Amino acid sequence: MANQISRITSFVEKRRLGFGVARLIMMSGVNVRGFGPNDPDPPEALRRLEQVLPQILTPQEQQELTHLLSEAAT
Amino acid sequence: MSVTIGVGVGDAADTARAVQAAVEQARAQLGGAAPQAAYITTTVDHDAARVHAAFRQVLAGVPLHGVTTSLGVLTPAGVRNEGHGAVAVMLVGGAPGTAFVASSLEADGRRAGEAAARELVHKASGKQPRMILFNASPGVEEEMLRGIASVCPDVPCQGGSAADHAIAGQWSVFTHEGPVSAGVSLLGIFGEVRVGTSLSTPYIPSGVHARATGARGRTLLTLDGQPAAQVLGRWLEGAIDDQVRSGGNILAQTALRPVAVRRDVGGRDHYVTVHPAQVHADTGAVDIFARIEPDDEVCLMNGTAEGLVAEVSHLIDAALAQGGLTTRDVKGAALIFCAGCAGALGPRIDEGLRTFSRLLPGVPLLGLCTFGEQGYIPGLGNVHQDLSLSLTLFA
Repeated sequence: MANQISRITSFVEKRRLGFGVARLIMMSGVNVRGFGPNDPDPPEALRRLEQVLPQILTPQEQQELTHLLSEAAT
Repeated sequence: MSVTIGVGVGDAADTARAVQAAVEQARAQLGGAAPQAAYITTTVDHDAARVHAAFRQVLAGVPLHGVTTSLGVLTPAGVRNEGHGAVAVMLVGGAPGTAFVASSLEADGRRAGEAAARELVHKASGKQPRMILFNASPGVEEEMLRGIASVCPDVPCQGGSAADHAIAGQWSVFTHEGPVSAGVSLLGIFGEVRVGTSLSTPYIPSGVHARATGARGRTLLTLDGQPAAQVLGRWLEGAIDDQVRSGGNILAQTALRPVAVRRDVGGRDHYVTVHPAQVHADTGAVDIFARIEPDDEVCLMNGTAEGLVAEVSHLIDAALAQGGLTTRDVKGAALIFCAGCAGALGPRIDEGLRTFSRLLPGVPLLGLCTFGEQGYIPGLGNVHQDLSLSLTLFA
């Protein structure tokens, strides 16, 4: 699955604005702003993002994001 | 003529438009007073050089000072960072001589502090400032404060260290001449200005402690003779096991459970809070955001999100009391909020910030999220610490 980081960033920005994206960057150490929609996802960066998402999104929002990512993969 | 303060925030994606909007808002609050200095900030979503150039153009001739902020700009209504970042400015208005700025790019912290303080005093024709807004790159703030104290003894320094989002060194210090990645900038307030200052942390000692048996600058090597990462890992009960094994960033895990060094202040305890940042798995060393000296007693501290939110009202009360001010006296406020605390709080930080609207309604506020905070502790002098809130009230 490619382009997940870019999709995660867009989702967080819609729900949590720029402050949410800045928190995502701070807590994961991944500069998500540097990933475009056509860039590959480094597995370690993706793993670190997945680890911190529960601190940024509600469980319902995480489910929505998971659904969005799996839809995009098919 | 006393001081007047105006604050503006701009969150347009276009840097020049964001700066223009921020300055227009701030100017409108000055009541016609001429700006004597500008305290500027931006998130790193904007290019620092373009931000500086835009402020320089819009505020022609006004001395500039500041640093980049992490996460967003803090206002009495909450955090501002809609998606493209944010810029902000505090204009200090008043008679000529109310404010001056100075800076130094010396690599040696003490010399940098001394040089900047000397320049500040020189610009004020030898007068000592009432207080100094201090901003610097992370690294040697303790030495910078010592350098300032050698030129301006007992002058309170309040401020914060430059920050980005990723803790990747993308921060800038804004000197009047331009943005720099390393250095110190001072904004001195002079003349008929009353100030109230406070520096606080919302943590209590857990009772768990150890002796720093190995420390070098901002790296904690050993506690009670054992690798610092292992000791910290035991204290945090599994929360940083991955990092102790493989190395990595532990800022989030330690934001509400940091460490501190106890200092005696005339029979009272002051805890200098220190944020553990990065574990080195190969050596067991831990990078930290403030100095711990060999032989210091290092304590594990406890805090909660509720405590962080509630701390804002304590901070305001303490600053009012320190300055002998009432809420009606206050004309402006500069807030420094630890970025680690802000990151841990998330959207709940807005609850804390709205305390300003409640206790100081209508008072212009400029707030930054920083990687280290500085403030004046009576009996101890100016200190650098982490996970803290630093407030200056102007009257």
